[in-house]
Amino acid sequence: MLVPFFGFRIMVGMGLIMLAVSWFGNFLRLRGRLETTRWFLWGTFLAFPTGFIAILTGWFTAEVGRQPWVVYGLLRTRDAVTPSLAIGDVLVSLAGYVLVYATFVSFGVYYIYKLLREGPTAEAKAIPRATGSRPMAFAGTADSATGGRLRTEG
Amino acid sequence: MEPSNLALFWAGVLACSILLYVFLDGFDLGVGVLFGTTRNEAHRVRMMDTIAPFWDGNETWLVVIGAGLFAAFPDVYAVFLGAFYFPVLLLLFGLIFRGIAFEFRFRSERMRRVWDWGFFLGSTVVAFVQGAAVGAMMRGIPVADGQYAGGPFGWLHPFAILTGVGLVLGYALLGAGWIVLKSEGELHDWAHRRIRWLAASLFAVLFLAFTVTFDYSVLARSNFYARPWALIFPAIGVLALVGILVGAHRQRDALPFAMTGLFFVAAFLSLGAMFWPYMIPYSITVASAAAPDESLQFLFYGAVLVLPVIAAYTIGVYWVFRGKVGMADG
Repeated sequence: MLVPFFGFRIMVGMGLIMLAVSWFGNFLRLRGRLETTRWFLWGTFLAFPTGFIAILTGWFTAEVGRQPWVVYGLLRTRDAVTPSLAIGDVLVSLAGYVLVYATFVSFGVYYIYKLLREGPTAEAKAIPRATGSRPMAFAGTADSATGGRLRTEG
Repeated sequence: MEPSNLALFWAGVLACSILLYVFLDGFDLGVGVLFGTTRNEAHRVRMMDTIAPFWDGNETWLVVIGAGLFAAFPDVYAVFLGAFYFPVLLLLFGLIFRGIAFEFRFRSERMRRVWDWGFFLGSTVVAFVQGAAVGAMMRGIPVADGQYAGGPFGWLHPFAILTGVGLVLGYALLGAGWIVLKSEGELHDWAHRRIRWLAASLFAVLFLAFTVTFDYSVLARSNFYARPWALIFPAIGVLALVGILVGAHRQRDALPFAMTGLFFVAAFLSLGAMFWPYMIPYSITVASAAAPDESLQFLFYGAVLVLPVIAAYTIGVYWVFRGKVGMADG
């Protein structure tokens, strides 16, 4: 019962951090200090995994907390297993998922990091070969994701 | 046992969704297959441009099929996923790699070749496992007590492998027809030249599949003999293949694509006449697999609300992006 206990509390904690970031960010914006408060911008950047962590720990809370039921009170997990499925098949498929996800998520994070490092360019230019279905193609040239404008002076 | 009206409604929704999915995702998967047959970077970029606004919308219908089976025909869902555990796994991996290629190849330089291979192989694997699953279904799925009763590679058989290759070629044919419709100049001619060869190889593969590897004794378990009129569908399919060749010979733009579509409709109706009322041939019927009417009724209201919305925005996207893809810095 340790997993649901901590999973739930971590999830709620992440939610509170996200609320704090958004409320405090709006507070700073109203004061006109959002773009100049460096420690808060760093904090916002470092808070980027909170959404992922909240989703995962919430998921753990539900999945682990419900055991040994797969449908609470109606169907036991052991009775829900596909009879034709051998444990080797499950291992192979799980390993495959881990490998595939690890590959494309690490490259995705790398390409996002590259975008962040390049930073927003001052001027929006026409992007070759970009279409509406490739949002990332625009990301490199967007002024600001929130619609705010970059400060060029001060 | 006769299926209820609600079960028939849901079987109809699934049949339409499968046909739409095969036609729509078929052409963009086919473009992915053809993508791997050229090294010309300008062609590759333009090929992706012809499907970029549509491909993920097309895969919506796969989600509709999966969710519809899960909700309305849970027994079919359980048996199908048990029988095709590894093919479905490969289907998902293929869809993942071809999906990320759209974004990643424009962000990368050294790794671009890897994402290009992922786009080509992912599309090919997706087409192959779908075709192999159809072939395995035609041979019949072993079922006991409402559960799949075979091994993890029970689907693997020369006939299923040939139907898998056949669907790769069939999708490539749809893809070539789509590129012809949506492009101009060199790429248009490049795709046009491939149509007759694709049609000829599709015919050869299906001919081989049905003469050498198909076990005709399974037809006795199907309803094939009870419906001699259904032979009209394979005949239409052969005529459609001839129509594709005529279209390719006369350098028409729309005819090959339309005839390939007709070929898929004919193949689908042939399978329908052979299988009906089985959903898992030849053991689980529409009536025996359907969820209770109370569940189907609840789902019915969801479907009549959501499906028209999906249809409307799909039509909208095709309307907005109609016509040829622009030549700009192609």
